[in-house]
Amino acid sequence: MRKRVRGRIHLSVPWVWATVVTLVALVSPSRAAAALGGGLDSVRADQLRMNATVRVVQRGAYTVYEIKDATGTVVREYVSNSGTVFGVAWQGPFVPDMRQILGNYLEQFSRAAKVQREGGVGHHPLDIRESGFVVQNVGHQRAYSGRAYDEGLLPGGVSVSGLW
Amino acid sequence: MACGRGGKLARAVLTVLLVGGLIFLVACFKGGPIPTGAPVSITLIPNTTDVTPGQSVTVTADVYDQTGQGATWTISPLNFGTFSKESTMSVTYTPPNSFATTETVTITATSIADPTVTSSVQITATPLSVSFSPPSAQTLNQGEGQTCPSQPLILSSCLLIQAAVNGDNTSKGVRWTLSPSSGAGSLSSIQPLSVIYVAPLIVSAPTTVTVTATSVASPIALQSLNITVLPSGGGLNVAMVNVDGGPVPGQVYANAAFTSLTICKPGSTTACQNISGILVDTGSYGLRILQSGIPQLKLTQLLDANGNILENCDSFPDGSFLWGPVALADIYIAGEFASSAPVQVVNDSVNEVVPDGCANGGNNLNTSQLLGANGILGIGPEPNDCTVGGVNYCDGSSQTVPPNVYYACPSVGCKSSDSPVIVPAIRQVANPVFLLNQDSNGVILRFPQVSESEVSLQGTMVFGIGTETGSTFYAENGLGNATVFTLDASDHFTTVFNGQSLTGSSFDSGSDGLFFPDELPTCAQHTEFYCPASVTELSATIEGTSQERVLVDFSVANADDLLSSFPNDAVFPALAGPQGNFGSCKDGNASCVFDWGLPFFYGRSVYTAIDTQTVTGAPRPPWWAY
Repeated sequence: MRKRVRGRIHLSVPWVWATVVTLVALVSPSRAAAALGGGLDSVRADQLRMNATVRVVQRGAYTVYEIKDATGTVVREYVSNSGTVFGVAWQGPFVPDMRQILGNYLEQFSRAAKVQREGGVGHHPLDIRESGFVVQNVGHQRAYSGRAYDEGLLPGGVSVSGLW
Repeated sequence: MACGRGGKLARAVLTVLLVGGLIFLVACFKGGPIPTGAPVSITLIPNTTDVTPGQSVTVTADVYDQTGQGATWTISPLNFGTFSKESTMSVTYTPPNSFATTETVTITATSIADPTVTSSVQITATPLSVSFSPPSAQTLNQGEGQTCPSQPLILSSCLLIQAAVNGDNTSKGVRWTLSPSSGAGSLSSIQPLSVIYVAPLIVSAPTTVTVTATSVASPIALQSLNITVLPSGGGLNVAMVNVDGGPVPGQVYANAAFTSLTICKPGSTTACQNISGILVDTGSYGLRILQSGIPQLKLTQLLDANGNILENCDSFPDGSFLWGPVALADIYIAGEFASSAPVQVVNDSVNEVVPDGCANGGNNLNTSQLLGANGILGIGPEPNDCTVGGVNYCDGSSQTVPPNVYYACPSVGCKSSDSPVIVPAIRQVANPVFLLNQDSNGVILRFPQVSESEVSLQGTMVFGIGTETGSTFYAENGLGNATVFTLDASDHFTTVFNGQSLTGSSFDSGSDGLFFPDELPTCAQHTEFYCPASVTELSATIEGTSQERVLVDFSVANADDLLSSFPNDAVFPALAGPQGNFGSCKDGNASCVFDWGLPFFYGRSVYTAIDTQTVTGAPRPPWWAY
């Protein structure tokens, strides 16, 4: 059985501009609660799981938690002021753990990726758009970047172009 | 073979005896008086039940009748083969000299004393067939005056072809022929079951010739092998690449370049297999082959100190993956050789458990149908599949937590919960170019210009950059006046396009289009591509970390229209698609990408220089140039 880790410390919002916080986890890498669609506790869990450094940036209607995990991949989690993770973006040599960052959206992602794959052979970027749920990933071996978000969770006035 | 025949013979005899015995028992227990004169019975004993052209079977009838008249013989299907030495007690059956498919022949004996009593035996007549090694199309270089040595495997203008005539007991072998009748090269060292094909000294264009082996015993049995001979500009360091839709029948993999190579067990020149349909990919590192593509070759897997199998995970941007053990192989490609290269071997077992960390919610591409290829040849600018910008992420040198690339599992397989392991660089799947015994500092991909969709396109993969002058049998591979684009710490250069600074850009022959953020409409059917109302002319500027800017013009056509209008075409220079969201890359952040896929390579020579190697007179790799 995997140990289920839930953060007990709630990171309060708003944070000051470009606050840099370093958190070193004391637990072994474990699977945590979902990120996309989840709450702040899932962000905290990600930090622990990824044994990661975190940088927090307040951007008006939302806060960005930028986590650089131990394998060199940077994950950005976009959290609305009401505390919901409405988007996740990543960039680095490895695709992050999709179970970790997609949470309850994982099955929808898997199904959509399968449907796209069965649509024909070929290697090209991932671009899933299903009733507001979007997953994109591009790049090549040892260099990936992508994002996942649910348009239905976007805070008012926030454009997806801000999610890199 | 002999054992199988003996078994069938015994079964046939036993069956006949049992049936005969049952009839006898039924007759005995019917009750009533035994009729005068015992019932007539026939037992057939063939000396074999399998024949091929040139063989015969003798069937002996043990006829039990008081008058001793014996039996007459018939054959079904009628006129398929002939009887000889026919008597009332035996007959010899000979199948036709030539026939195309396996036939079941029924030989029936009918009692002369009581024509209602018959007995039959079934004989399987198998036609001869010719099989080849190598089994599929080959590419050679023009001869340029070479003499074929005794070991043609490592010489790119000669090819040893071996034939087997399955079912031929005459040992007559095959007759070798070569077409066309002129300009096709020659055949030498002609033997009943082998020949050496020698390419012409000079060809002016890629020339396909056909070597045919025809069974002497049964001329209907024949097999042909197509060989393409490369013109000047070919050489021992030049492999052919074809954009031809790929190796899977009935499936067109557009904008993908394929090559072929030979894989051997390390140190062996006989435990080898040729494998074609290998995708050429400058966006990855290392050779990955489907086990189904080398069915006769079982490579030795790498084990750790505890006997666990080292397993490798290759993740594609679209969420799919390849999973399989690392094994060592000697790789022969064109006239080049890489010794004991760690390669990934992908099995198609449906029962195999892939750790969740590798699968990552995506799809396993472990068949040629799913992958669209028999393997991938990753020839990007790094020496192995764990390094980027000179940092090895899997050997423990840069971090203690290994990424989802290598796993160590017992021979019964992995568990879905297994975690990745740290692996030293020498055991990581390696870029075969990096391991060549010469010309190992990089590779050049060359394709002719295409202006519109084509069925196929032939190009070359030249090994080495600035390592050959063309004075020997190796093709010149200098950088010439190509512009070098050095790379950042993520092995990327920058593309400036439509007001965006796309800092994560690369030349990726393994991508089937040009992919970039733009406002063009996405297709309704092929959602991975753009579908502008009419062909749209665009341009972008490519800049390395330290070089001049170069402007690139390109076209984007309506992908749905193209793919439906030309379903058999594999070459689409104007295929492009979206990635990311237009407008999010104005500040030049690192996740913004222009993925220059295979269409970029058409009409160009694109150089890939590998990290840690050197190219005389050029910046320190890694870099790309064209």
